[in-house]
Amino acid sequence: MSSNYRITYNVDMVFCIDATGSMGGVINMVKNNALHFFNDVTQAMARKNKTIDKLRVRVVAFRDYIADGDDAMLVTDFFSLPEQTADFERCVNSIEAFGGGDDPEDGLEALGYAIRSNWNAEGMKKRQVIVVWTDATTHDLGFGASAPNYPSRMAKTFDELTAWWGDCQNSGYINQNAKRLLLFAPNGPHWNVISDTWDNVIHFPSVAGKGLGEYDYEQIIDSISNTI
Amino acid sequence: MATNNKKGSLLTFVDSMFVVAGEMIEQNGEDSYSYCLGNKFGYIGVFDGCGGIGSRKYENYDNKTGAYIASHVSGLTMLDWFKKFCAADYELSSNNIKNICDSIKDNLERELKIFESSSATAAIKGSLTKNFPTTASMILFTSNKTEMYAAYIWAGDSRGFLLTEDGLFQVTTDDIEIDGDAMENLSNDSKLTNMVCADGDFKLNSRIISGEEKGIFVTATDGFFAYFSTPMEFEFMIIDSMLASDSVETWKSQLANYIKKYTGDDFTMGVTVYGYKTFKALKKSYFDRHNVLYTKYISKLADMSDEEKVNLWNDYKKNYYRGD
Repeated sequence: MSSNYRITYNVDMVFCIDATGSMGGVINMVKNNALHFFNDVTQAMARKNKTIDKLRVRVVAFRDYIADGDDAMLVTDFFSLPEQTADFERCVNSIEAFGGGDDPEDGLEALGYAIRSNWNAEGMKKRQVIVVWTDATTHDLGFGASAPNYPSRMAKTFDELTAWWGDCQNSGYINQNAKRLLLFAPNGPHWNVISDTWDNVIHFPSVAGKGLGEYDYEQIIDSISNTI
Repeated sequence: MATNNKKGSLLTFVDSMFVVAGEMIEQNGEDSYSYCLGNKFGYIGVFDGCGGIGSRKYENYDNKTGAYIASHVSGLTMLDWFKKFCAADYELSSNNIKNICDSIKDNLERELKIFESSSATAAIKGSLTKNFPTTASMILFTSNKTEMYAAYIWAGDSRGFLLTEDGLFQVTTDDIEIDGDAMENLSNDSKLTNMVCADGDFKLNSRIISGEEKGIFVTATDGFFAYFSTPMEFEFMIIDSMLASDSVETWKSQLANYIKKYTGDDFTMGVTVYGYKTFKALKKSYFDRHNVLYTKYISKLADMSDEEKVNLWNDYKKNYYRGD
């Protein structure tokens, strides 16, 4: 019997980054984490003798449709890593913390974009990981619908967004087995509901204005690599 | 952790009992095991700490993860429980299997809660987090001198098997969200729906097997069976490595060397051989099965498409699930 057979791992990650003014103190850390995720996760996997065959990352930088107009949402396509590392780094480094208006932000719309990503359906073992970094609670979906650039195909209600995420009875826009949602977000609306009711979620609660640095970065990387 | 109390009447029926184990990261493997052979009962169990769900590290426990602590504590707890079970001279039967499962669950939960209560409260929330999560696949067995009686008890996706000259039989059923057959589950990668954990929100499944005069109990973590392209290769590995050996000790080495070529995870497999008397007789009993496996399945795999492998599996699985 030969040992040519090898399990392949394809990983897609979407980074949803709160780019409002209140993130000013921690945005560089978040950007730094995003930029190092590829190396850190692949190294953590390599220590377990696993190799990621295809890894793609996408960025959704979000603010507030009412307060920030055209700057409310930056959405990229997937970058294939390591081939498009330079493009990915340029994109992440261009994100600056400003705007936001009131305290809640449009994080649910960012999550909506992330869930409807063009996920890689190939490979024996897949992971489709969404990582949200924010220090703010969220508006209700559609709070910014009066803005001219508000997306027409966005989920209309939180229930619809929940259906987009799916569950074991009704699959959504993301593979039920492959999906993971990592929240670095306050334990408040609507992140707390997502944390309590959606499946495949790991929530690292942050305190508004205090940044996200209290968690052991190595543990976060382990959380991701161990679920791949 | 392992003990092998080689005295008493059950020993006349059990030929050998051993575990083959290895870890991907030295000193940080999240698998564990324990086993013990008493006068009347035997026990062997494997545990696979759930690394993604239990990745939190505990400073007061040598910075080990919750997954590592859970599997190792569970192994030790089961050894302690088994000794008390033997001392109490309970019966192992279908009438009291529920009581046995309840007793094991109470013990595992109690011990894991001690670790939970002595650690700082975790702020981490969400459906993919548990405190001290681990799978468990355990076999309790006894004999009436002519045949074996075994209770397979499990939570999670570590598995229990019975291997006889008729082939491998998977006794346990994985606790996963989307439950396919063993071939589908190699690529389904579905989420665990049940595992041992400190909050006690888990169940222990059980199934009783009896009537075999000789056979091999096998219990394994997924590092031992989930990295082949088909379930047939797992059975072939066990038998092929046995036939390539001249003693139990060399069989253990052969198994370890074999699985290292395939696995991408910590691996642990507990084996209990009974009823064959000698290693030579054991090998002789499996010559025919080895030939069938090789000619019907294994020799054909190398050039096969995925679809053809599924067709081959569909033929093999009638026997693999023969107890269902």
